[in-house]
Amino acid sequence: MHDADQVLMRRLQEGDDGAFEVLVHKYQGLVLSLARRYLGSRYSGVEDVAQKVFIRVYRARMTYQPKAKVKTWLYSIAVNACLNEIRHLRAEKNRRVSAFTAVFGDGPDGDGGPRAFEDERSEVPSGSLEGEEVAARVRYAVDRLPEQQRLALVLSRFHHCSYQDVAAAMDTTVPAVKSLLTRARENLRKQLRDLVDVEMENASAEREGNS
Amino acid sequence: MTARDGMLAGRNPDDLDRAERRELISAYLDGELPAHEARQITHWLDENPGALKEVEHIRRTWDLLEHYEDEPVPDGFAQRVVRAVGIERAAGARGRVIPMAWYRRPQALMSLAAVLVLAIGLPLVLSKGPGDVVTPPAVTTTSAADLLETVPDELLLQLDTLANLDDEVVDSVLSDDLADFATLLSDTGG
Repeated sequence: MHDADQVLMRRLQEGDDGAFEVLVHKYQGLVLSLARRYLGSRYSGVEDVAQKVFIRVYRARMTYQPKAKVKTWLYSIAVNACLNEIRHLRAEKNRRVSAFTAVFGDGPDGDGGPRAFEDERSEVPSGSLEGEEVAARVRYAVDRLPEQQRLALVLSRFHHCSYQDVAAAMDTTVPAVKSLLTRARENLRKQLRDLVDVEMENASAEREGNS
Repeated sequence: MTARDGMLAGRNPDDLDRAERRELISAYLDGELPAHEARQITHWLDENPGALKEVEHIRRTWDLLEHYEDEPVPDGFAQRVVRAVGIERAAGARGRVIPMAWYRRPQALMSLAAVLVLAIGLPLVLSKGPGDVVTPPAVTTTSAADLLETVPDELLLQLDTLANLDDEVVDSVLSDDLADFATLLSDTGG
């Protein structure tokens, strides 16, 4: 066993809790980043979910098998924790909408339908787009992607996971990941088309100016 | 079949349908095609300016995601995690499992602690006459896990229920709006 993470896991399984602390320090950024981008950039419960991930890692430490990469194992725990959070929030929203509808008729969203935790998603900026406004548009576009597409994108684009690792973390197949990423690209392209068009026009003008 | 196994299987990209071609380009941009297929796509793009422009558009869209910057890790996050696991470990050694929700709802635990102090302390104070001297209990240092060990199981169940209450309910408790709290409790079946 040569992988440093696997050595840490073995030490943790043998009762060395210092190894857990090292693991938390090493992967806290990764777990928080995944939860933040998957659950939505404005969601306020990200830290709670990330903490829950590490508590689950500790609870499940004896089930870890050295044949799996620690990082992939950790990703799958983080993905499950985020999915549970989404389900919980959706159920909560449904319950509130039902209670509201029972008393007042129509739901607070007008259509009475559940919209998960969209209230906490980013807002799209308007007006001219510079710097932070471009960033806000991008965050909004990512937040609006369907859950599975967003997760595949976050793992692939921001965490640089291979299709194989994305599939392992999401408990799905490589062709499914390929399809999710293709659709995520298409959706982002539709949402950010105007920004990309401007960039491409500028690049084209620059090329013509140079020639 | 994986992306690394190849997607073209000897075909020309022009022979693929629209959906297949999009997946192929997506895998090409992600560097997930085997080298010989990636070369084939590069060559095909050189000869197809329309396709090249579309690929460039997709690539630039992907590049825009650079603007989605990450935030720094909150101060003391790792320490809080390690502390929470330490409490869990100590409780686990005594055969108790701390419900996950307790970690997420510290204010609920604090509220319960205040209720416990009042429930135990108030009758003690009220039972004494005006001239009686109330002797305070001996102060001892104890860990959270030791404290948990002394809590009856029925109360643990109630604690768990409280820890799982909605934010609205907890907010109501904290704002001392008892009438609103009662309404919310009845709404949630509590």
